[in-house]
Amino acid sequence: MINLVVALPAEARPLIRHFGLRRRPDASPFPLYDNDGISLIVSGVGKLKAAAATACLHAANGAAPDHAWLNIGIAGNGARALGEGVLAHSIKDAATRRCWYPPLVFQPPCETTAVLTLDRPASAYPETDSVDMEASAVYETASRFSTGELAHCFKIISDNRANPSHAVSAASTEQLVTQKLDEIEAIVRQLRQLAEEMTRLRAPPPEFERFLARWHFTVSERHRLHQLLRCWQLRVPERQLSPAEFGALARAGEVLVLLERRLQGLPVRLS
Amino acid sequence: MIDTLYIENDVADHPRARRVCEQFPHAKKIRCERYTEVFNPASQNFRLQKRRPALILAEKFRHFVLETPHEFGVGGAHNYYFSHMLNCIYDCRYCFLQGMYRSAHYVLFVNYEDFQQSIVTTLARHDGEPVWFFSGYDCDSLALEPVTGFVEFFVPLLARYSNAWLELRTKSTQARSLLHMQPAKNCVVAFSFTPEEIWQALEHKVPPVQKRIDTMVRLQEHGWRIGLRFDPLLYHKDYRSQYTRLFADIFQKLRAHDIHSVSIGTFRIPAPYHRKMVRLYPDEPLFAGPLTKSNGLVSYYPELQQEMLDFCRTALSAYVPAAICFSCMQAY
Ligand code: SF4
Repeated sequence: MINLVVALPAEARPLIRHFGLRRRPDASPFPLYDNDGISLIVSGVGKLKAAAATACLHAANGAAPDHAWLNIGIAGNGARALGEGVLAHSIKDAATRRCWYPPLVFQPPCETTAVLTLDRPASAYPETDSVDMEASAVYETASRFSTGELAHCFKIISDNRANPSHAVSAASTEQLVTQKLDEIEAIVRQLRQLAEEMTRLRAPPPEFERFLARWHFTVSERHRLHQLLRCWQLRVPERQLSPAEFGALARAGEVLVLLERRLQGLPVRLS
Repeated sequence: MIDTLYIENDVADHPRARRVCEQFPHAKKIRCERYTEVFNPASQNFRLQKRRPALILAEKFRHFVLETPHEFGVGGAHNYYFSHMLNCIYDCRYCFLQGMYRSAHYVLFVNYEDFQQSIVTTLARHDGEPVWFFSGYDCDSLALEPVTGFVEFFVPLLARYSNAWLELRTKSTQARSLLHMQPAKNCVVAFSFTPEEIWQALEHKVPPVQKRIDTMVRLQEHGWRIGLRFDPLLYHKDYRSQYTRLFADIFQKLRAHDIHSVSIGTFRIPAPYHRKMVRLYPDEPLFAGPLTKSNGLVSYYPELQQEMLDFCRTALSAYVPAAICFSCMQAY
């Protein structure tokens, strides 16, 4: 699952078309779209709205821990060319001076940049940074929900020293995003792969639910059951356990004791 | 190999940092205020970062030389360790660094001169008594030598002090610097080994066992004192035959009577690190092994530990005297 956070409807429209997203019927304070493992929320401009929309999307998608996040939006950069797409390698909140370094565990399809998130539009450009108004809030919020490797910010340069920001319109924004769909798609693909891998690793062993349905396990017993079933799966992957093998036992605690005892007799593997 | 460098603003002009940067002309160079901003955030995944670790160039301000945990050592009374680097280019699945650090990025502290000062002060405190300095506690001492120049700096430094001992601990074959220098009598190059089958299963990116044995032999022929570290010993139903073969392979090529020390220790890991490692690698058979938790440490059952230590000690006694064989069961 990947969650996209954009500030403006004009940034959202090309993405909605490209990924075939549909408006979700649930009541949400922010427009929310999804299709086939991709969700998109339109936050509005500024850090507060961006953080709120990110949290809202997290909750709307079941507060799962391994979703990928991508903030997509336009940014200014004094030195870069209009229309250039850049992935943030660092994100600084201009107001708090806090800085984040999204770990780049995949090869980005584009250049990377330092992003400076401002509270209000600036009249001058910093030396090298790209400036926006949402990235720090999206990253800070999203990296509370997922690991930092799964949260990123992709910016498209909409204005520079020669082309100031007052010339940016909804139409030009839509066009800028449309021109960068290939790069966005490539990032989305890589992030989705990582998120799927994390989800797969976190998944409980296949027979876990069947044991839970058969006996009542306390929270700590559930953890222990999870551990023991995982060990079983790794020690004898060719042989799946069935609750029926423990059918005579009345209590969850007894199941765990027997499972533990049976595990001790299994061969030890290192690969 | 390294395509991203994070560089602390204050070390950007340090000659050692500049040299490292020159070695990676195509790497992305990202400035930061303190390495901890990149290395320490809670929301990081060691396993994911191992796919593409970055190198962080930083300055260390304190705790340059630290006392080793109790029971760590090869016979010396005063044992210290120092870490010019955090993390390792290899990826051994049993490595405690995965449990200790949130990030898999490599941190290189470029201010070697401050480590030097601290080493000299520590030596002075012991008034001529032998003092051991272990490197390779938080990293592999040699693996990144062409980048770090660690050996070139620290070996000649320690060689100047007759009461100083230096252990370089490694699984690497990066021996060029050592082969180009006069062997230092108070330096032990300690190689860690597990049998071939375990190397294949668990020591990802580590050079093959035979290549490491060859490197060790070349260093010994050149005059370096060699140490052998069989730590961790890893259990498997065929462990006896595998370790027997490993010892035979090593001692067939190495001059056993010239070996400085041998140490053994079974697999053990602090419980919080173990918990984190299982979370990172729930699909790893090693962690489904016959392990138990006791006194905050996860390790093999005591009887199994003892059996493995006894077996290996006996097998090693065919090659080296008991006096140079040490059991290391420290808790990290
Ligand atoms: S070589 Fe040593 S430090 Fe490096 S990953 Fe393996 S165990 Fe860890």
